[in-house]
Amino acid sequence: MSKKTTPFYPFRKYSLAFVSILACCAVLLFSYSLQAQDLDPAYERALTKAALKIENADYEGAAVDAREALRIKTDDEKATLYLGIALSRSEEKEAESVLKKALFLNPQNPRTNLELGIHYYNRGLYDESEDYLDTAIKTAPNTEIASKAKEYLENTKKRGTVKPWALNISLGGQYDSNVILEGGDSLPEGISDKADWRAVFSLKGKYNFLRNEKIEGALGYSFYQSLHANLPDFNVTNNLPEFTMAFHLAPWVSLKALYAFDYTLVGGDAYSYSHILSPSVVFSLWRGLTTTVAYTYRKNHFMDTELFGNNSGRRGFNNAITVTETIPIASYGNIRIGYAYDNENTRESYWSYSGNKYFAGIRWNLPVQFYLDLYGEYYGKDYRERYPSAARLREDIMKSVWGSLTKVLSDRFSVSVGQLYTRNKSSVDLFDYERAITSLFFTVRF
Amino acid sequence: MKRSHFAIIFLGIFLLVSDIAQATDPVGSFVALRGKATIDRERTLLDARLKDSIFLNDTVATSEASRAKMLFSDDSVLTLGEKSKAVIKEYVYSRDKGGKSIITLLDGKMRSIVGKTNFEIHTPTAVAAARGTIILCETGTIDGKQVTTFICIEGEFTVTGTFPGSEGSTLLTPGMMITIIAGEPFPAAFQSPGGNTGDLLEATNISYELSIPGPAEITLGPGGFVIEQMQILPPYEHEPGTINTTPVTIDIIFPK
Repeated sequence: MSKKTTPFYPFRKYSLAFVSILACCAVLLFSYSLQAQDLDPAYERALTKAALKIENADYEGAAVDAREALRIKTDDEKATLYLGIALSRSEEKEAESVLKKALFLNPQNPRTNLELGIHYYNRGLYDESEDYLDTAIKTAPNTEIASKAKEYLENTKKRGTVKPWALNISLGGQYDSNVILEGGDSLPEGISDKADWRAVFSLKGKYNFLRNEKIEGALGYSFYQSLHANLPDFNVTNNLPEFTMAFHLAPWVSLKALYAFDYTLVGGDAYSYSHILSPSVVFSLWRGLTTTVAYTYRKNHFMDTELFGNNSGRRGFNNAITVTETIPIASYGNIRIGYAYDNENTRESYWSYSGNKYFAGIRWNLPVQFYLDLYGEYYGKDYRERYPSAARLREDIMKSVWGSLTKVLSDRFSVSVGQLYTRNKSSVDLFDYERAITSLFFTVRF
Repeated sequence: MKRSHFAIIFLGIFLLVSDIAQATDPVGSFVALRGKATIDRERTLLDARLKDSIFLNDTVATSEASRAKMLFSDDSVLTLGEKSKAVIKEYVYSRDKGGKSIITLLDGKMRSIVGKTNFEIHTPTAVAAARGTIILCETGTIDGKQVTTFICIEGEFTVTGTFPGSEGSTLLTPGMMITIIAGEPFPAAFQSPGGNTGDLLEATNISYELSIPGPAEITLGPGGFVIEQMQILPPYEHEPGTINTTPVTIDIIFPK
């Protein structure tokens, strides 16, 4: 091949030294341009602000700055990690996917592994946590990251002593201005029009037989017993075993399912039992804002007793759709608002109705471990047929408000006081009533 | 007393108070530290710690093998390299009106990511005035002469020689550098060799070391302790909207 045909022929007249200088300059310019690319002032500022805000526990602000840094440098590992840390510290569900993205960008980053470990630890997913903590120790031995990861690991190892179950027992007293067997839809005989004192014992147990990142399964049992001072026929014994499953499909959506069997005795006699089936979808789309859409099917079986002779006429089933929005208010608590539509179909059609319920509640975390709950609801029911003794079609509007204040005394004990007021305005006098209940409860947790 | 006298006294008090507020408000914070850094504040030497505030007229100094990164309220980010000393000489910033800041680098190396104010770096031999740029700066004594180097990484800024005999001015654009030697004529700027830029960048590089929270004790049953709403009515009085036996729950973790 002649020299003229080589690709470098046009440069033959330049000396080797000149070409070398040219190459060096190109390398220097290239290295300079790389450095300059790394130093975007807006990115640096955003990242620095995010770091300071994380240190100052302003996680919401830190997330805004980290997102700004990511806007400037998409898929930047450090900015992604900072965003993940900010979201994880503020217990945002998005944290997991962001931290995993940071890990994808650099699987060997010890801090990212540590932060994922901490994230899962705080969610109680200790098996997942251990994997990442182990990697953090291996990738940064003899560092603060490793020593912190070991602290977390030691704590997760202690969890052998942690029970997978919980038990709450409450004992209290109530003064009821109008003892009513079922506040919602009682038989006329169930409305006593008498005031009474009662002692109440309730127990709630829960056993988590399955709990990981994707699935949760639990068995629960609730027991309730009331003992009236003067109306023993209104003493209620209730048993409620339940089975729940939750499938976390994505950080922002979960599917839940509940089956419960509800068995009630009144005055010592079998009164009713029900099968309850309730699938629901829970969306957590933005800053802890949670939307729950639940469908509930309830098959009711009422039994006639000596005192409540026409009880079996209420046998049937109920379909309900409920939409609940839970709005967190930073660390102060949350607000819950919702709407429910239900349709009751009974053997005796004068018990059948369709209802619309609107409700709102607030949980407010007060200083020194006081918790305030306020709740109000409006429940309108239109019955399909006239009640036998009534001159007109029955329409009920029930308005209820209640409030309670709970003081946590220790990690095991708490005490609560509460007040409920209900007004059921009915077009049929038999069902028109007012009721107020004052309560004091002590609760112990195991 | 006339109304105008009241107005003058009121205005005087207002200006005095606002001036005091300006002097006592922090202008920035330490966001990253490596090794040892100190703050000389009104003749008291304090050890700098992460998140410590920085005030007007503070002198921040770093020891050998130490670095300090500071974030200012106008979003400027300054990083001091080892054995460096800088004074916050002037700092006025308003979110609406902007402001002006003057940092005097007495000795050592500094990286400045300039924020929203009109920003000046003063050294014993020169002044750099900028806005929205990244400046690398080094000042010190070589063979008994004060030497200052500026390198422009982003944006552009003006460098003015202030030492007698070294007066002059030039505009630095990205990749350009200038070295001013006290008493020698003001030189021309030139393309910064990659090595110089890399060395100064490395000397002023410090990563954030975000603190790591310790683990909370695991003393919980499933779902943690739950402070439930008080059960006022029997559970069988379930109605739509309250089918769940725990209508609203908040997990509370009790530290041991």
